[in-house]
Amino acid sequence: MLLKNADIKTVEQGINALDVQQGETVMVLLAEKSANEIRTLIDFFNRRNISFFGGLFPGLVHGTERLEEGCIIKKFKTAAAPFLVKNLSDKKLEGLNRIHIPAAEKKMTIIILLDGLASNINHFLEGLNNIIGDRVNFIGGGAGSGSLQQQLCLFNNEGFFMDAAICCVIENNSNLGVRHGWKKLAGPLVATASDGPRIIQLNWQNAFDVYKSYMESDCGKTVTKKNFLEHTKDYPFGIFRENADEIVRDPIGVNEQGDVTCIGEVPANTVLHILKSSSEMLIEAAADAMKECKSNAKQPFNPEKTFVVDCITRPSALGDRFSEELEAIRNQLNIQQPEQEPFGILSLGEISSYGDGLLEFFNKTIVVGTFHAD
Amino acid sequence: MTDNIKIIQDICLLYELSLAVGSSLDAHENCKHFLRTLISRKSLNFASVWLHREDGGNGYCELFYITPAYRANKRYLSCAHPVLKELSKKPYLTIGHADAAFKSIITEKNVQKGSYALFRLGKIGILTIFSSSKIEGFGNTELAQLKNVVDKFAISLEGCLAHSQLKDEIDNREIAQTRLTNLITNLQAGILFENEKREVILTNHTFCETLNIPLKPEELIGQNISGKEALVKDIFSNSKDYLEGVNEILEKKELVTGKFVELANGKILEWDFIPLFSGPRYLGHLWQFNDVTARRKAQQVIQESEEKYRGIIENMELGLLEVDLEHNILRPYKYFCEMLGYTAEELIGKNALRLLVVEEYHEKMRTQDEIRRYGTSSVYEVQLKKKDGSLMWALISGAPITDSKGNIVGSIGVHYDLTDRKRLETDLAEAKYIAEQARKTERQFLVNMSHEIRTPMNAVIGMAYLLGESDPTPVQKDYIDSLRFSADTLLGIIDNILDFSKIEAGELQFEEKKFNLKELLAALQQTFQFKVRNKAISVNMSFDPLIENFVVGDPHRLNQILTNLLGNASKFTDRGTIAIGARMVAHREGHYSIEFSVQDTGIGIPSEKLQDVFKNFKQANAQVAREYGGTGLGLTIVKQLVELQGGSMQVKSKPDQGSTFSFVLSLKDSGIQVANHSEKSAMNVNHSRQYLQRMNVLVVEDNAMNQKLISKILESWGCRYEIVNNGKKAVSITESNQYDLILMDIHMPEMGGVEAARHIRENKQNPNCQTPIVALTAAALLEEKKRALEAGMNEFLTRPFSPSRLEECALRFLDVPDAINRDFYELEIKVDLNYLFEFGNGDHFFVKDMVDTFNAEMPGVIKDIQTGFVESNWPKVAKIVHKLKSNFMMFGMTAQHAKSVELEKSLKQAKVDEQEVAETIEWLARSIETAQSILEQQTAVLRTEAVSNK
Repeated sequence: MLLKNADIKTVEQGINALDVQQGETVMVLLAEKSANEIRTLIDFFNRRNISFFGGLFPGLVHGTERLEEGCIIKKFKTAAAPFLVKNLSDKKLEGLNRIHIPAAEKKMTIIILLDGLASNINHFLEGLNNIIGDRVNFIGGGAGSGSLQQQLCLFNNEGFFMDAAICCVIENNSNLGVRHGWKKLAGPLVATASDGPRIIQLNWQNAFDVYKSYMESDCGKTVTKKNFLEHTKDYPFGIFRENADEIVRDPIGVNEQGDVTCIGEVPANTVLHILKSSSEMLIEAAADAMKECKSNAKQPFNPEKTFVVDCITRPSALGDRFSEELEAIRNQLNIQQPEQEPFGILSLGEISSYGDGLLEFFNKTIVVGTFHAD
Repeated sequence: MTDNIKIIQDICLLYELSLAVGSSLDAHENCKHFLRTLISRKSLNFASVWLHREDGGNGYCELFYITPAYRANKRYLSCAHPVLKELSKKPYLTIGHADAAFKSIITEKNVQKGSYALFRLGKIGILTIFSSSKIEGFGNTELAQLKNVVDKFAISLEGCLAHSQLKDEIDNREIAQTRLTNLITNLQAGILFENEKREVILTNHTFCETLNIPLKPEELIGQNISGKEALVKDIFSNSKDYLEGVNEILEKKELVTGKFVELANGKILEWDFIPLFSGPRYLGHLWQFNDVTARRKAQQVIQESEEKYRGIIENMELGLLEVDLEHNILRPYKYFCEMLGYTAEELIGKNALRLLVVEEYHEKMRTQDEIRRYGTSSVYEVQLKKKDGSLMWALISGAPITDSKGNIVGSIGVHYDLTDRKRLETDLAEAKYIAEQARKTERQFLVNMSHEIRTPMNAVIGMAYLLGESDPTPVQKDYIDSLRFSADTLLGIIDNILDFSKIEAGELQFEEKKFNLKELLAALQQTFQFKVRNKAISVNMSFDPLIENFVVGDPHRLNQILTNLLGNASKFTDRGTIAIGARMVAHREGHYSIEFSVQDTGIGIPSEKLQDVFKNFKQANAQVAREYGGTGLGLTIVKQLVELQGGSMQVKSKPDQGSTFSFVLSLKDSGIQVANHSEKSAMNVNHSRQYLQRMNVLVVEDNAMNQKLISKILESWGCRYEIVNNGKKAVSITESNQYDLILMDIHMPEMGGVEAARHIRENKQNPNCQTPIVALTAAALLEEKKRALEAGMNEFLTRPFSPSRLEECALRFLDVPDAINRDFYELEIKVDLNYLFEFGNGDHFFVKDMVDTFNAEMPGVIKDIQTGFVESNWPKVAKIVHKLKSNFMMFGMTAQHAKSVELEKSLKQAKVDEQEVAETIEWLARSIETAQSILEQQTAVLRTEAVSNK
């Protein structure tokens, strides 16, 4: 349910209209501009004894629309209350072992919402993957502010958090599609020195200097630390994987020393490429992600819900044509499901289990998940 | 160009993978980083490291690390597996989905299609990787590229494992060394560890302290102290000998233990020398010193003490015997041998159980063995056989004997000869049995006497009463009165004897009844004032106004005590005053402590006789007995009645001046004030009478006279009743008829009351199995009562009983609401005979006649008035009330008099309030019943008085 006006009364009415039953959990996706009454909302859910979780995002998507205000609420059948992992930056990740996956004949799905600007996200996902593995499908994304300043961005019945992750095991099976539409422009480069999301050296030289030289030679413009972000949106890094799409890393800042910071970790000695794309490629990638879902799904294809996790940088890369990306997804969906509108988030990093492989944290990527009743 | 880029990419990837090797010295961390990178960059599903293990010559590989962890399914792979055998010959191999061996090497969860690649990790194990996207196996080039990285990984992992092993060894060695140092430092023994050059390697505080060396242990390290004369000369009492001894020991380099040396300060040390060799190489030696001064002294003390106590034990009249676990005699002490007539030599080695213990006590001895096995001591008695064949009783205190390790190896017994005491006990038990039998016979005699005398007496009294009703001539009336008086007196004497017997047998019971104490005293004062009217005596009464409430206790027994004391006072006083008093001494926790006193100005008692007045059958002197009469039991009973109620009797007396008898009793405070109480319960009386009228009563009684008396009472209640004359008939009739109450005599022909009651109770089909049964008997002893109650009877009424007593008893068993029942007992009536005495010029016969007439007429009057009420015949009722009015005035019943004046007046009015009339009539009826009960008490005194004046 999309609520364009996200004042607390409207949201409460919306939740009442959902008619939440025992064994159901509500997911609340909130645009950051509508985030004034989170604590009242938490009180409301607790008073009503309704299980819920959610996050704040730079924007939401619904159908072909991009929304900077408003709220999307969806209910899911869940086997257990959403599981909160606090202090992601603290590598201990206490309590992760307590996450419980009920034994079931069908494969369930875990929706992960986490603080997209927290450090150690890969470590957390690796831990989760190590324990749970391919017993379930994973889909999710990074919450937080479009200003890229870390802040409180996740909530559930226990409160309002940052530097945390919430995992909700829903009883639906799912199909996933992951695409980004970026192609190699230059490389390979080796991140010869790095610290978490910060690349210090590329090919034993200052990271910014190397990165900048590639961008300048392609666009013919001077790249400085000041106009850094104007250019980097078009030239992300890709972590090389043999026989698979690169894992995109989105540079979001550069410091005095020329260290380039990305959303997501870049381990030392990682082989990188500099990527480039075009609007057509990005839009096509979105359609491909939806197609991938369909091709993996049982026939006839009739999902209950279609969840889109779209990187916040893609609207800026696509500009006015961003709606075409959403349209591409919807058109593919509507071939079989003419009435259904995809919904989702503009995220700080995207999460998917990507087939049988490892659970990964992507950037500049579009993840589509279709949730099925059987 | 594309190929070049591909080559560069491959090189970069291999570069990244190579640098992921050896990221940590920790083997798991190393695996984790490398495998994670490998999986991610090579787009694999999982990778695992397996290490070679040996199990008795059978090689296998054990899973050491897998990522992701959830994939692990099997943890072992046999080295005999064909794939692993093949791998032992090659650096790597790949197995595609189509290969026959594919399924046999799956050790992970959820693997369906794809390809494995296996690499040899040097000599330490194997690495496996799996990709679901490869169906036909990994490419050779790809594997060849990876081999170089994997080889590096193998070397680094080998290094990690070796490092880890070495680290463990170092850690263990450090731990062992720390433990050893701590052990030596904290040992209670002095330790000196020297190398082959006699230089100190390690020592501890205890060593320095024990040997009085004024240095710290660390200051001794590196020094040669055991061989330096200058250093040891002040330490040992004979240092020269010590040094020579030490040199000799060091020469031999042999183990020496348990040697002693005395220090200059008198301490005694026990020391050991331990030479240390590593193969043939001599490493040094260890000295150990223990201060045993205290132990040696204690041993000396113990030895002395042992000798001392052995002497004591030998001289005591207690036989000590030590045996092993099989009862074989280890050590018989001197007195034990004397007790049993054996010599020690005859006993040692023999089995004590077989030789000494009488056979019937063998089982008991075995039980004692069990107890002893738990290390427990115990005391028990057995019979022992002496050498001469005679038997002796022994009290044995047995205790386990333990060895130095705490194991129980035998027991020691202290034997005390109990034979004389046992004989005495047997004699006493026999004497007790005989005494108890005699007592039982005596009690049975009393029961019988009680029954045999009281039953005919009951008939004599009853018949005399009926004879008095048969319009006798004046002369006959005199005879009848004498007869009734004599019977009453005789009954009084029997009661006294019976009371005395009951007290002696501890069978006297006290009632808990609420009563007006002041009224009880006033009645006594009045009665005795009348009694002494022919003497110049004034009977006074003083009552403490602080006793405001009704008290709870046994009014009958209190009346008995005071009557007896007043009787004595009036007997021994010719002029002056007799004073009866009650004074509150204390009032706490819901109880009044009241001092009662009876004071007279009579002949008094000589001081030397004062102690005897409470003794059985004693009077001050024989002359007194002759002059004043009596059984001599009165004061004894009084004293015991007081004591049984927790008081004690006091007497003060001076010859020719008078006596004061006093006692203090604790009586419960009912909490109900006397002054506010008298106008209560007219309405409740009405209700209780209704209950009685509805009753159906069965009377089981063989005595015709008693039948007649009970019939009369029951008729006065207006209830239905039937009479049968033995228990058998009672059982039969109760099977067909339902009764509300059964009155049952105890002693009857054919079947007694107790047996009949048992039959009725036990037959659950009998409709009366729950009906209250009240025993009626002259037998009044506790045993009789117990038997009746055990048979299922509910209450026990001792004959002769008053109509009100029977009524009270009946009401208790009826389903009467509590309030009514309680209020009925609380009904308070004031009766005053002064008017009658005045009217009859003090003629007690006149008063007694009046009382008897009142008692005889009243049931009929009550019945008439109730009939009149039922018929609404108001003139008839008014006429009867008019008659009653004068009766009430005569007996000083002022409240009833006033009420009847009111009633008569209202009955003569045009409109009668029936409800009010009913209530008043019932209140008056109940008042009369209660007055009759009070009058009965007073006429008992009148009887005595009438006779003594005659």
